[in-house]
Amino acid sequence: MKKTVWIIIIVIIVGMQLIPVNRPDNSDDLSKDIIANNQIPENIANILKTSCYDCHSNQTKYPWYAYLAPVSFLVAKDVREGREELNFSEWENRNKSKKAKALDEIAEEVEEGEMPMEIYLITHPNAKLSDKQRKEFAEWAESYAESLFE
Amino acid sequence: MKKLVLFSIIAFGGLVFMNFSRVENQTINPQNNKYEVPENVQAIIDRSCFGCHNSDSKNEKGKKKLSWDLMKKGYKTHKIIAKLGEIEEVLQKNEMPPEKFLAKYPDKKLSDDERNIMIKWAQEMTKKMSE
Repeated sequence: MKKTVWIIIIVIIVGMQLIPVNRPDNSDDLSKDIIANNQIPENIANILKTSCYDCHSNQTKYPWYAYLAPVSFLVAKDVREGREELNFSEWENRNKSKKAKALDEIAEEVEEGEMPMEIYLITHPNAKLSDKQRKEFAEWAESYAESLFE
Repeated sequence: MKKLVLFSIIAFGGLVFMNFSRVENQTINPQNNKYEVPENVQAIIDRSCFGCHNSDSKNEKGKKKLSWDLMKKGYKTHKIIAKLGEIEEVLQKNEMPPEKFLAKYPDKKLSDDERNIMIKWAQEMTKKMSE
């Protein structure tokens, strides 16, 4: 009896691996990238790369569990939605007003601690931001937005 | 001579009137005088938005997200433009006014027409101010 239960569980887990995962593709194209196209201070560029780019760019560093169902579904969904909301690899496609809007939103979300998401920080402790970093990030976003309309 | 005096009075009166109606029809932002709120938009804001979204609001979150009084005086140009984009988005997604609030104050609900007036205004103003 016990053996049957185990076999069923294993079959389900193995079977799950056969379900296709719609994991967003990466790209090396930096022609519209925010860091490649702007004078961004090093500390801010580091924050962007370490704490934002996994979901908000086309340069996601997929961890090993991103290839293992059912976690892979969750990772794929978060990356897909993150890129849809804001993609730093496609930053230069935005006009000035769309940039200003995004900068206002990221300043607020980072300062309020809404981003990066808790679930991401569990497995990416390096991405955690200190209060000082959050403040620096918000101030940078504000001054960048302001410079767009000078 | 009499004619001249009469003419002056009419001209003066006309100037005063022009000035007066100008003040009535548009709101002038000292930082960016392109920002204008027509009366029909202002009426929607006053009825359905301003209660939470003003700088004296007790609703801390609403106040921080957007204070309509600061759109006229206080926000810098980039901030006004950012907020216009956010206004457009929340209205397009039908997220504002919030459901919970509308359950209590159903008369503050925006009709489709009113939402479209607001969205169109936000889009036009964004374009105008970004030029």
